[in-house]
Amino acid sequence: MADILKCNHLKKQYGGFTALRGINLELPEGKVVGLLGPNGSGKTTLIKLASGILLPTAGEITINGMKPGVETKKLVAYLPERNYLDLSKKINKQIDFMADFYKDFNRDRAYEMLDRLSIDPKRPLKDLSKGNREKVQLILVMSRDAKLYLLDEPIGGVDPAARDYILDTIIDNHPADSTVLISTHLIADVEPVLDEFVFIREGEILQHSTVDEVKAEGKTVDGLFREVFRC
Amino acid sequence: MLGKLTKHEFLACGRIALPTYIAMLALSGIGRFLTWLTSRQYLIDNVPTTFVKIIKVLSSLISTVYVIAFIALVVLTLVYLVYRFYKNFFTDEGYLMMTLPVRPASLIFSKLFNGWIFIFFSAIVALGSLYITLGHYDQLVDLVERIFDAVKDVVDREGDFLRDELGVPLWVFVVEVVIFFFLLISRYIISWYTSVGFGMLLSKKHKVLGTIIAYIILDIASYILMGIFLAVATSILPNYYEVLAESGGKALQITVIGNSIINLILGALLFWFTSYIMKHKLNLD
Repeated sequence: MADILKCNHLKKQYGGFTALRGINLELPEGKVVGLLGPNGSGKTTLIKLASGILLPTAGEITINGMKPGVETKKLVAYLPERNYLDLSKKINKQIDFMADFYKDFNRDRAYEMLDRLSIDPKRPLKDLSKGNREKVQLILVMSRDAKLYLLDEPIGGVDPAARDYILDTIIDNHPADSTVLISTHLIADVEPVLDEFVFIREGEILQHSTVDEVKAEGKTVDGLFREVFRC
Repeated sequence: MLGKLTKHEFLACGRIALPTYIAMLALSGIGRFLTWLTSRQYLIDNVPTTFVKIIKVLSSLISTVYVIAFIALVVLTLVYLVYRFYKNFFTDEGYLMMTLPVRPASLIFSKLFNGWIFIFFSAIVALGSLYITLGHYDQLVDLVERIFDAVKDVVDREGDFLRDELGVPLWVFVVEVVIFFFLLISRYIISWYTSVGFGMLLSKKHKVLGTIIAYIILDIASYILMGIFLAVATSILPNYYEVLAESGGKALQITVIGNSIINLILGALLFWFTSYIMKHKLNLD
């Protein structure tokens, strides 16, 4: 199986602070991967590098064999921690915007998901609650048929019911041959949907395994996380 | 993709600009109507003086608001263009805009195109509102016609002399002046975009202050570059000052072309620098 994301001695520094310390990582196609680590471990930096928002200080990162740029951005669907929507826009106008720029954007799927949440697409984004804005943003990302989904803390700061909705939306909507990278520190919640996981701490990869390997040892990823990251 | 970016930017700016333009024209219309009303002899003769006085006060008030709105229209157009640039790329919206499958150069160009479009629209609205406010339409039309006639007359009588003075036909010179203003405005808009990007590098906490300091630094750097350019140009054209003394027309021509080249080079440098910051130095919170 081909690798959709590859990091080769990838390093990122912000001034004097080193966020990633020359990591090596390969993520195969068609997997749901958890990027797991405490706050400040380098998860967001890795995702920003893969999305092309940041450039590496040293080393290399490739998406489908290409350095991040215009071509990889066509393949990557990115959900940042922040709300990036222009709140003065109506939801349907935001859908038009996404459909204009991404050939893989599926309008019908977006409207269907909005309908399921009883959100009127003609409403301006500023009229929605914070929770619904986050859901709309997730819907916009998951309405794409991307090769790689980069989801940064998609379930952070939401109630358990919303977490279930978010995870179900991710799992139900991503194409089978795509890879989903979910960054989080809420291990127990994401564990049921993961195929693989990556433990990251202080800018270094500690472990990259399949969930089945952990299960074979009679452990859970959550239990292993607590073991590895014990203070 | 540049067309799509420009379209979406146009729609976003239009949402704010269109009501502003309508308000501006409406304000002119109301002001004009009140002025007309207070000058009606019938009204002065038949309604209580207090009422006429109230209308007159209201009319002066509207005139004051109009003058402020007129200045604000010009200033706010530029401020809004710069604000859109900052908001789209250097706030949380940057997470969407900077992950679109487009080059940073296309993002900057789309903003620049809209800058031209809305500065043009603002100028049209400003002229339109002046037209409404001033009234005396027949006289205005007459004035414009007389100006055109006067220009035509000068061209007919002095065409050969002007051609000799400028060294090119008059229409070529007019095109050169239009290009000069186009490049000047473009360089001005881009210098503000660069200041926003550069300002973010100077200070992430005090963004407005960072932008203003960046603008001052870039302005000083631009003047230094202009000085260098002028020194190089006069060394290439050693008889520049002689030409200046001999023929005002040729000197004017050289100045317009020279300034256009300077603005083009500076604009290109600033454009490259902005694109570099967005590609290499962007660090969204």
